[in-house]
Amino acid sequence: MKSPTFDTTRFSKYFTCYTATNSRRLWLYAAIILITWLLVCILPPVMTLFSSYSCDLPADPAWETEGTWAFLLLMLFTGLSGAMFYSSFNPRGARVQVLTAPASSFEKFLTWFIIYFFGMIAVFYASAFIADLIRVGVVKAFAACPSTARPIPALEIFGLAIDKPFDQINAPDVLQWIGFYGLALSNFAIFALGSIVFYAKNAFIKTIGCLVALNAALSYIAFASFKVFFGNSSFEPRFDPEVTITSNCTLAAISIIVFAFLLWLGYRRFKEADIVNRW
Amino acid sequence: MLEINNVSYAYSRKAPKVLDGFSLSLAEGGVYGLLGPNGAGKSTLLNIIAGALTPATGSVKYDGVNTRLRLPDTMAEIFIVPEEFNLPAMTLLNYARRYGALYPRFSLERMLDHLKTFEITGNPRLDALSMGQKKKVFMSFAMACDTRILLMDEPTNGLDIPGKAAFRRFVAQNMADDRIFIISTHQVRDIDRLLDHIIIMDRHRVIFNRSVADIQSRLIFTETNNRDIANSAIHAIPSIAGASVILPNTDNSETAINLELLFDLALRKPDTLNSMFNDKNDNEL
Repeated sequence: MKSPTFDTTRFSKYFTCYTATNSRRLWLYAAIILITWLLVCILPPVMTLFSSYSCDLPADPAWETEGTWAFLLLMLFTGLSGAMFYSSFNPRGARVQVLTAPASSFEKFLTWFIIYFFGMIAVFYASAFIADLIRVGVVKAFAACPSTARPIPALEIFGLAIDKPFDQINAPDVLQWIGFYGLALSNFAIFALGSIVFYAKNAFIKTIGCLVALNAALSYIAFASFKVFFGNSSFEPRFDPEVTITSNCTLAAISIIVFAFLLWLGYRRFKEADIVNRW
Repeated sequence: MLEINNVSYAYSRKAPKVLDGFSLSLAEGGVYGLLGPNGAGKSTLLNIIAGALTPATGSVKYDGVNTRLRLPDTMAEIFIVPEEFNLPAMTLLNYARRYGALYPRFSLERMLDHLKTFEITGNPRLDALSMGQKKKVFMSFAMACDTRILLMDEPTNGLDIPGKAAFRRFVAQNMADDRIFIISTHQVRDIDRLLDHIIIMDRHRVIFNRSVADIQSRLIFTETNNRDIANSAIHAIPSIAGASVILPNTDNSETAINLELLFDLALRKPDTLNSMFNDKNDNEL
């Protein structure tokens, strides 16, 4: 007897059906990610006429730039992917077919998670390395000192510009790395929750609006609380290197908990969803 | 058996209820016509049966399982052709293979046969079809899935005249003893020869619920230009021949049901109509 929650055959059929139905849109999204990376990688050297590629440089100057952009773009595309998570709920005419398709809610949710999270991450990093290779080719073709251009090491992209050799990476670096990825995961989960709460229209913009409002509200509460408890004392943040490990650990833990909680909340909301959004 | 028990639904807290304590039982082997004026709750009821809407109270159960749980095995036995639907941008055969794989008894050959009934051949792209053609494709797919319950909301909307005739053949050829067809429409003339059972809704409740055989055994539908007959009829409306009338069936004759006339009588004088039947409706409120 098949499990009502998960059956491998049924899941694979639904997964195949969903990807075939949305193939055009998914390929377009992949193309947007690749084009974005191409712009990030190729525009700077072209705009500066390759002047940054001198022969006395110890490393390719693009690595740090691309590593920094990796985090920004990861936040952008995890947000966009999250906003697309429940996109099959639009238009309205498709909603009843999504809800009544003979697959469990979990199987549908898992399909979308694999595509819009793991699929997006895979395309994201594949695009980063492809765009970087093309950059190297372009720079080698036109720069005065082509030997400076080298493909970006994996750690630069995955490590989000942690500028250290691999054997020197320590616990705070790893925790920082986890914390940043946790932020990206939480970002995905926030926008995924927004896409099921606001699925009628403009989910992405409404989610951003909610985040801005929430941020403003929490900032005001924090400021007002500080005033209440500490009176007229000035707020002076101090950097204590001993605290770094703890704060990074906290950031990592909170991010992963937030990610898991919001994803669970989004799944619950999806199970409650009807063809009419009554929220 | 499809059991609808005490279902209530409103589209928002401030909106009036579309369904209020609605109950109905439907057995296999029938084509049920769900008739009613605009806003009576027909589409809402179909969506609740399909599990696409959550009732505020009550439940719909098929073979004892609540359809709102949207369990895969239950969804594999219920198919709804809504008034508004979307077909993806792919070819017809690709759509049939991908989506048909989700339904255990789907048959591509049957679907192609149904499409022939609607005079659709080849392998067109679905996004290139007109609305009427899309409807024919979707209904052909729905029928080919061979689900036990098939719900159709305004199925003849958007169909041309040959399409409507094809739809009637289509339903007649595919009815089976273990299936339930529920056709919701306010265009009663398109389906009057198809139905085994007539359910008329008005203001979120059932006002009439009888089998066609029962109706034909108790009522006669005819045209007359005799004013005395028209005046003494249970119900009459003017027609080209004089008047379309409903009379008590006193000689066990069988006449084709004039659904428009019956519908009009049910809305205007539901108590008079129901009094023509010795026992109460099964699910009368």
